[in-house]
Amino acid sequence: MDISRLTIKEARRLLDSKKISAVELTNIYLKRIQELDQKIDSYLSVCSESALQQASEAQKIIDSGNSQPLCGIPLSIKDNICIEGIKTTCASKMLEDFVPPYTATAVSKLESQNAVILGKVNLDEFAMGSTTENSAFKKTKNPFDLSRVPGGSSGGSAASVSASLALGSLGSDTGGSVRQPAAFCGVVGMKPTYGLVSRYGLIAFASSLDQIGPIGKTVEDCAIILDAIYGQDPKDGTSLNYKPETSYASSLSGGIKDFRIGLPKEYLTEGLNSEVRDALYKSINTLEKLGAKVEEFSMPSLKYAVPAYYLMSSAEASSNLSRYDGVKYGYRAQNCKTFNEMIGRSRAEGFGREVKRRILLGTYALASGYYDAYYKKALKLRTMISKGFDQAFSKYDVVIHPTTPETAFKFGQSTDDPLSMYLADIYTVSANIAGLPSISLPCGYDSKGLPIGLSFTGRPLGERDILRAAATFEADFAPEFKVPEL
Amino acid sequence: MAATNDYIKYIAGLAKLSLDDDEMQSLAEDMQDIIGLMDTIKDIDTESIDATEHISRITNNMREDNPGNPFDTEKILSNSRYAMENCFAIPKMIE
Amino acid sequence: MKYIPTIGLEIHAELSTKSKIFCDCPVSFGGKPNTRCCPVCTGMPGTLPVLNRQAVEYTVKAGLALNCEINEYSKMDRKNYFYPDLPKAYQISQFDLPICKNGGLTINTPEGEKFIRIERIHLEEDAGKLLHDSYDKYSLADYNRCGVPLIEIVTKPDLSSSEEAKEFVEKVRLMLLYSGVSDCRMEEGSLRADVNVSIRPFGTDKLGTRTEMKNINSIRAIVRAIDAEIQRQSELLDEGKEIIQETRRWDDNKGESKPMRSKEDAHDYRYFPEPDIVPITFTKEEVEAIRNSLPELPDKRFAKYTEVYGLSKADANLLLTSVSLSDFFESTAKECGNPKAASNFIIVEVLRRLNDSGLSAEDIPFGGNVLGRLLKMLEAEEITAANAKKVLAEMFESGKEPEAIVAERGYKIINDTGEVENIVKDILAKNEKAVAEYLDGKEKTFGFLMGQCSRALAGRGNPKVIQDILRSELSKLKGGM
Repeated sequence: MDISRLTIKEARRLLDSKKISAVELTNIYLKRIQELDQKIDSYLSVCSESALQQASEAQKIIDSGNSQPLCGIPLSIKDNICIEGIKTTCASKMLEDFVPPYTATAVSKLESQNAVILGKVNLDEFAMGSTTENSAFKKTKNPFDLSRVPGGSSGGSAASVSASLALGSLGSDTGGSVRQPAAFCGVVGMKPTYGLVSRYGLIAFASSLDQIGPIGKTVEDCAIILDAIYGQDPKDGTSLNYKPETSYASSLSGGIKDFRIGLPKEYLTEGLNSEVRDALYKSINTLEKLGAKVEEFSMPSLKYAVPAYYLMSSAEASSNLSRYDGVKYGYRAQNCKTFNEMIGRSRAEGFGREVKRRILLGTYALASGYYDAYYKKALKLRTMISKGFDQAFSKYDVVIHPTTPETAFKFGQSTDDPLSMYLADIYTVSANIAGLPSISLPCGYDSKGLPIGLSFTGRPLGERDILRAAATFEADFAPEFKVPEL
Repeated sequence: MAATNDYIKYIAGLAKLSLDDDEMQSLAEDMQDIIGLMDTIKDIDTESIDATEHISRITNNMREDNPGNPFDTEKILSNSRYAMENCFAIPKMIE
Repeated sequence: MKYIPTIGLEIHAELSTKSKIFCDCPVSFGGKPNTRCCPVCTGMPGTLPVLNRQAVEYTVKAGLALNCEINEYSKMDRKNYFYPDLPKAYQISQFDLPICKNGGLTINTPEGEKFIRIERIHLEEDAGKLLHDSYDKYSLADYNRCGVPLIEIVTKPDLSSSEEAKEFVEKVRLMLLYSGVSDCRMEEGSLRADVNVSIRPFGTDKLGTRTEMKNINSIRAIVRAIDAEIQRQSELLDEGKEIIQETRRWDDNKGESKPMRSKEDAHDYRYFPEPDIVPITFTKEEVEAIRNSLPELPDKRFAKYTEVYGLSKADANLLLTSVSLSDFFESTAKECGNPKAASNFIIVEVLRRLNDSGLSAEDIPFGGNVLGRLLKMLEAEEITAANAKKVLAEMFESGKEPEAIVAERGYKIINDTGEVENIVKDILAKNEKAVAEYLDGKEKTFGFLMGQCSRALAGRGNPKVIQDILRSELSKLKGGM
């Protein structure tokens, strides 16, 4: 069994046909983590004991013949998603010792299928960043090239799946944080429609943009995870009361003959790397070969997606992160004489630089006298972008675009230049702004062997369209699919 | 709108970030650039556009008034090293 | 008057829901610190607020009772500031689209009726409590009260005196009690007021600088605080000094106010729409349904009691002090058909018993219709007034029905004149000496003979009937001599 090519689907077959036991499978991953993660640094905490216990529980279910799709499947969880009794740090000094007394709904759902949680993986601090370099604890490496970033903020999730240190992962996506690292690390990542998956237990960055999303080796694996975690949650007042007619995992077939696919012209900017551009057009050819009709269209409001995103997300973040004042939990500065001194210093010492930038930007955008020009205007741009997509989806089934303008860059390249980081989010943020489902999957490798990601974005609750398009493309691309050599 | 360094200092105060001078200076420089990017939205006219305040397009998602069992106080206090008499302790305040 | 005072109020009332506004923690007064909290109301990372439907309905009810319009579309907003009693460092409240707007109440002033406008009523969550007394170096935060639903009733600056403010607050309190949305116990903090006061020289129009005093929790303190502030500001203006716009803390024990250290150096709350709570909408039908679920409010009842039933204003007000009492009175009146008699009996007998034993109208162990039946018996002269009181006492103690008590105790007045005649004759026969004295001219012995007859009838005699028969028998004897 080639672990680097193992998928959740295949592992299910092996487990159910008793070719391997759940404990054996989990042990394989725990051993791999032990041996290889010192190179990758994707895990912040490994839960060996509880994982093995979960595996033996899972085995009982398998033995009884009642296994659900994720029963006994070892997964990693981004460390901004709470699991009761396990440290959840958000890769921040602020929450270094925080142990939540509750579990995120999405994780509870995984547990109810008897999935195995291998541990918590690294991220940019409070999910703010695109390289995972903003983590206060570790620097996660891209399995395809250890001198390069895995992307962010769900860098640990993507790297752990890419390096086969987990069979799948839960990440979170606010402006591309699941899809971009998936693209950099050569795996599949998706962001569901806003509200499809509960946010309860996901430590909030930007409430109107955050969604938990799956990362896996294949489109099908992501669909299997999505099937397990979606659903209305009484603990999340923004979660949708929606149930698809059939499971997502069974919605992948059928091909894309006569599928109408749109490519926004505004994305074809100078900043788009030529190799990525070539891969995009090669992919378009493939899609046309498979029967789809691909056409360019214009959506002028997309030009303002990046600033609109940063204004909205930073404003919400500045409010969501105000609770970190050292009073009830989290880092508290020592020897403070007054309450104001205590919170001022705790926050200055507990937060990293990027977090502070976002908090400052967000506070600025909401400040009296600036609210209308910044935050409110961003909300109006949100309307324009959403309406632009509504119009697009009256003509197209899905929208296509590259996931990132470039492939994974070297460490240190971004930290000097936050602006260029922000601008690199150009393709991913609009799906968050409009609350749309979007999936990224590998469509090629550049001359340095680095993965290139292709994205499909769908209408609200249009997961089935994007999954079908992605799965169809993936099947054709399969012979070219590469795994990192470790 | 070029934000002055003084104004950014004021914003840091609002956000309760007690930054030392060096950090304040370099963050203020970062902010100038970032706000410059944000200012590009001035170019587009949104006068007649309504703001989207909630993206999920649903309303009235409420819960029934059914009290549950009280949550374990131990667990509430468990993440603080400064719990006294069942409360969270902070430096003395004069109100 | 040299200066004209202008007063505005912001009244906070805790809604009497069973659970908190955004989580299912139970709501009740008191209790050991942090025993009625959960990760949501203590603002732990990753938790989310979910809105309590009952809190929204109660807000609408309060708005309707206070004559407000209900916004068909409203939403929650975040009010951002740092304070240790606020775990999320923002309060979920309502900014520009409150649930209720444009209402008001009429109060009585010496100059006549005055309409006090209510600008808005919005729904928000309460903060926790800080305790400062246990330690020198520490203050303690208790979050039990975090997340209790509050409505904030904001008036326009239409009040002109502490008396008017008192009237207004008392009336608001009564309306909220009748709507069933709050228990309005000021001493427990479920009703409190922020008071804004300014003064301007007589003859000018421009309002003066106003000051604010927060969280005053008794009507007496509201009156004293307003009067003291008017006095303080008047003295400042008299001395040619300026009034500083500030928040002051009213100390009712000392009878004075002091400037407060501000909660936020810069009062920039950076309001923005709460992304975790979706908007609240009402159809006209839903609002009407809520309106129909309100009991008849005190204003209407007062008019009915005074104009239709002919009760005095004082009696009407007394009966209206609680919904239970008022409902009790109305069902009594309905049953016995005589509201005035019902009112008198309830005020004199029932209220007295309640006050003596420290009970309230909710504690009356029988319905008004049951009391009504007792009063019907009294009205029909089936029992004496004295016995009616005894029956009432027993109804309270034993829970038995009045008819049963009357039967068991034999209180039923004997109206059969034949039986009374026999007993009277019997008494006269047994008291020859007294009869003789009476016939001799001693009127006083009539009283003695009456007493004897009453006793013999064991209180079941209708005094008037006994009197008539006694006189008639005596005059027969006189005539017979």
